Order: sequence, then C-alpha cells, then structure tokens
Amino acid sequence: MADNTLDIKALVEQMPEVDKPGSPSKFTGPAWSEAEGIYQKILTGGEPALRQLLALVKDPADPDFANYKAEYVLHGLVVYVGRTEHTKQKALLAHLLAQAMTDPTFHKSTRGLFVRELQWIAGPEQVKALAQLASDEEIGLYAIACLESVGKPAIPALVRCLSQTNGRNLVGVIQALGRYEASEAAAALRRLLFHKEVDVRLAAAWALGRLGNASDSDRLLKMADAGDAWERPQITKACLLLAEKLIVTGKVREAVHIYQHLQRTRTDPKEKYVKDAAEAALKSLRVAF
Amino acid sequence: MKKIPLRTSRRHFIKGAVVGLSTVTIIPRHVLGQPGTPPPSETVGAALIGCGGRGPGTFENLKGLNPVKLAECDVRFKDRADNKRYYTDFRRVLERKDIDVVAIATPPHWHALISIMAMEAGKDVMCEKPMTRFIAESRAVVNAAKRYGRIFQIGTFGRFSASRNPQDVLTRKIMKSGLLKECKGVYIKAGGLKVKEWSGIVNAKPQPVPKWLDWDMYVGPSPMKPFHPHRFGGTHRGYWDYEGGGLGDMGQHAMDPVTWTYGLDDTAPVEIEALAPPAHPEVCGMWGWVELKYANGFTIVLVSGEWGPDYDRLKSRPVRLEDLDEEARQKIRQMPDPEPLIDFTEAVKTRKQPGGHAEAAHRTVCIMHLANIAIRVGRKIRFDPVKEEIIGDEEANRLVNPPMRPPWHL
Repeated sequence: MADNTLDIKALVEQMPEVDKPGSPSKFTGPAWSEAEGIYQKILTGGEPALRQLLALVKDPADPDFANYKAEYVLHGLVVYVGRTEHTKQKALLAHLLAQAMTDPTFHKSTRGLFVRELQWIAGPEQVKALAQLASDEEIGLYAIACLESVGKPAIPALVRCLSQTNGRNLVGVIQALGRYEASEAAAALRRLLFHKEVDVRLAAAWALGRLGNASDSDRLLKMADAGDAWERPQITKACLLLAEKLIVTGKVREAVHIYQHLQRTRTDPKEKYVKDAAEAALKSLRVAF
Repeated sequence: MKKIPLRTSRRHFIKGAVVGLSTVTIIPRHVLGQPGTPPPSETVGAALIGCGGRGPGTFENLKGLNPVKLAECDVRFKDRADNKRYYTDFRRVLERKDIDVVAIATPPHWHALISIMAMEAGKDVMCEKPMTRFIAESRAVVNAAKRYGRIFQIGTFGRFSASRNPQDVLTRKIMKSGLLKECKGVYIKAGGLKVKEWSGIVNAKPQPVPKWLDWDMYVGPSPMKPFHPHRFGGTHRGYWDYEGGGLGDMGQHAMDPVTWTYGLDDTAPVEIEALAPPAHPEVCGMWGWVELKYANGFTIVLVSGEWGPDYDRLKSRPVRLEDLDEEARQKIRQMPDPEPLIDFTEAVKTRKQPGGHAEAAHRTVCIMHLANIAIRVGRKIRFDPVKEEIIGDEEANRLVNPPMRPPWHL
C-alpha cells in the first residue's frame, strides 16, 4: 500500500548541503545506510512518490536548477533498485523515467538526465520509447546509448532506426548494431558503405567486419585498398576483425584469403606493420606465404 | 527528419591527408646530422597528443629515441591549428607517415581510442596514466597492440624499481611459482589518493565555450555535456565522463609495482567490496575503502583516509618465504631471477614488450576500474577475470563497457 503522506521534498532536502553554499562546490554524501532509509521511504510511496521526485529533478543546464539534491537522490534510487531484490521497483522506476524523458513539460536538459539515468536500469520494456527519441538532435545520442546498454533486445528497434536517423545519430545506431553483431542489419550496412559521409561508411565497415560474413571480405578489402590516408587503416582494421571472426567461426580458408591479400598488397615500408600482422596471422594458421 | 551534420567533412579529410603527406619533407635543420645532433637515421618522428599538464613529461619519456617532435595536438589549439605543426584533431596527426611514435597525455577518456588508432596507423605509443576510463577500453588497447605488433608503454614506472628490489623479486618468485597453496598476502595502500582534491562540482551551471577550445573534440567519446571550466584542464579528474577521481588519477601509480611484485599481470580481482556514500551520477566523490580479493586469496585494500570510519578489517601482511614448506622454499631459492624489464626505448628498437606493456597496464588499471564500479553501485561485485564481466549484476556490468558517443567506438 502506497504511503500518500510522504513529503518527498523534505526527504530530498535531508541530503547534505554542498561544501561551499552559494558557489560552485563539492559535496560529501551520507553513508549508504542513511541514504537507504530515504530510498525505502520514497519507494513505499509508490508511483505518486516517484513522480513527485521526478518533478523535483533539474539538470544543472535547466534554468530552474536549484541544487544537486533531487538529482542525487534519484540516482541513488536508480542504483538502489538495480539490486536483484528490487525487481518490481526497478521496473516501475524505469517505466516512469521512460515517460518523463518524453514529457515536454520537462526542460530538454532534464529529459536528457532522465535518459542517462534510464541507461542504468532500462530493459526491453523501454526500447520502444527510446527508439522514438533516437533521431532527436539534442538527446537522441543519449537514447541510442541507452538502447545499446539494453543490448540484444534492442536490435530490431535499432535496425529500424537505421532509416530514421542521420549524421552522428545514424553512426551511433550503426555502432550499437556492430557491437552486438546484428546479422539482421547486414544488408542495410552494406548499403551504408556507399554513404556520402565518411564516418557512416567507416562505422558500417567496422560493423560488417564484426558481423563476420565471408561474403563481405572482397567488398571491404577493395574499400580498404582505395581508402585515403585515414580510411585505409580504418577499413583495414575492419578486414582484420572480419578475418578474426571468420577464424572463430571455423571459416579459416576465408580468413586466409583476407590475410593473403593484405600480405600481398601492403608493400609500402610504412605499411609493413600490416603486412607483418597478416604474416603473423598466416603463420599462426600454418599457412605458407 | 531534421539533418544533423557530422563534424568531419570529406573535404576536411582529404585536405588533412594532403597536408600530412606534404609535411614529410619539412624536417628541421637540426635533425640533419649536424655536429652534436643525432643523424636522421638515429631519430624518430614523434608527436605529442595532449599538450597540457602532463604533456611535456610524457613526451620526455621518449628521449632515448632522439625524438623529433613533428606535431603537437591539443583541443586548446583551435585558434592556432595549422594542420602542419599544430592540430586539434589527432586523426590528422596519425595520418602522417613521418611520425613513428606518439606520446599521449590527453585526459584519460581519450587514452584508449588514440592509442588504438595510433597503433592501427602503425605508431608505437607512450601513454600517460591512467591507461583508460573503463575496462573494455583497456582490453581493446591490448588487442590492438597484439593485432598490429606495436609497442605500448604506460606512463608509470614503479614496477621498474620493484624489479630491482630483492624483496620484491623474491615475492614475485613465490607468487609466480605456483607453490603457494594459500595466499594470505594483504597489500594496503592507505592515503595519497587525492579523493577530495579530485572530486567534482555538483552545482556548476553551463558556461560559454571559450573560442580557443574545441569542446566537441574534448568531449569525444564521452556523453556530451555543456562546458564548464571545472570539467577541463586537470579538474576533469573529478568527473566520471573523463576519469575516475583521485583513484583513477593516482591508483595506477600506486598499483603498478604491486601487480608486478605479486604476479598479477595476467589476472584481476574476483571479489570487490567498497565502503562509500552513494555516488553522484556525474562527479566522482568521497569513499572510505575498497577491498579487492584475487582468486588465489591475495587481497589489495585501498584506503582513502578521507571519509568514513578507520579501516580495520584486515592487516597488511607480506607474502613470505615462510609461507612455504622447506622443499618449496628450496625450489624458490633455485629459481632464476625474472628477466630485467626493458624500457620503451629498448622495446621500440628491439620490438620486445616493455615493462609496462599493454596487458600489464590493463590488469593494473582494472583494479581502479573495479574499485570505482563497486563505489558507484554500492554493493559487493564479483568479476570474471577471463571473460572480464561482472557476474550476476547486469547494472554493474553496464559500467564495464559503456557506449561511446559516435563516431567514436572501440
């Protein structure tokens, strides 16, 4: 039963004052045991209490920011419900943070703060709301980072985000998909190899390297060979990642093809280290070169 | 869909590349083998990335290579960058084929990425401590060093002194022998970790970015936050986005000889427990102590001496020859001394691994990363030193490899 008599503001104000009130200042927090008492009281207030707390939170970039206390209590609470015994409370707080991050009555910077807090505890239930923020110019990157933290359950939404984002946000989506080796994204990533923006191309190449499809090897090698002073080593890395992935999945012959190409083509003395790396890999695979 | 511009254009890339190539022939007269200066064949082209407080000292660590400083890169050079000598974008430096070695003294949130990209471009790396900002970063540095056969040396050298100390050498022999059935060793580092000094400000309102500063490049892989001078220029240490407080700043110094002496260069603590107030989401704050226990029983204790009750759970206890039976002691006495550690200069010349190589630096900095994770989650954590994951704690595990702000990634 929720406690409706709680004064959340009074609980928040129990946090210590900053060391030098009135000026940019450090603080010394209370012991966990003391803070836990406050977290537990807030949690007994259920959803209304949590909503009250969220209403008090202001990011320092929010014009209404007064002090650090509400943000600090919220973060402590987020960490506290992350403990395994607080599954229900975690789900409720994550749900409310996801609502608040899309609520236009909050200042955008504070909505960003909510996304960053959600990154600690978000689960599959928050994916849809996060994906809707992915193209946001101000807080979209926080949302994409949060989706990346959710992990594999976020992959279908991230794949959809490929066609709904651009610029840095698109690169972030590609990177998240690459991290989780999302094979569902392979076709779209191949198309992005021809994107006009170099960072998109490089991210797509890296992600394809991580996906580990042998069919991408010639495509990536060709791109690496033709790359300029920056793209060439970056896409060469994607080729090496692909080769390593192929070895792990038992496709040694396909990996050898990549190494042999690099061994054969990196003849400039300043690229000897790539040739050496390829030769070392071939040697470890007991392939003559 | 609103267009969000990327920072780097194709034209910028090509321009940078051409500049890089054109500068290969511009070598100062003093490196051309005049009397009293080493001939070009005995010098290396070098760059300093991150020219602030620790920049000159880190570059000084290259001196045995007779480095010719061809480029300096710093986000504060926005109004003087010429992409010939002075840069704000390290990628343009790494494109240059006349640079063989880079010294990195940026804030730590850049250490891993610049180290990795430097090695991908064929450079050897001297990197200021702490090695990285989180665990997966330093593992990625290790992987890059192996993949490309590059030399990486961390800018802490305590292990070199330890390797010349007979007692530390004996301890290492005992630890590495495999003859110790149960390790009762406890190493306590008390004080000197600058906890309050390197904590952050919790009520800092955003300020305009100075004209001379490339704030976007400074923030780099960390979440974008508005500029405030305290987030920059040394006091950055007080923010999780860029470092890990005094523990991040001083810990690698303190633990560098410890990991060598106790043979911990290839493993990590398995149980970590901290006493600290709840952490702030943005700023590194106070803590009392952290216990880090290894699978073999050896325990490291970090005590701040700046917060909470005095630490009294364990007493310092060295690993002794007396911990072994006579037969094992005899074997230890017959063991050869470890190979002398080689420095960065020798490593670059011989292509052998230096004393503070990437794996050793990674395992050392992981002590601080795990300590900070335990501080931030306020609960005991268990760590798998092989998979390098926190066991059974999804939320804590998210701090092992947090997402980076694009276009930066491991």
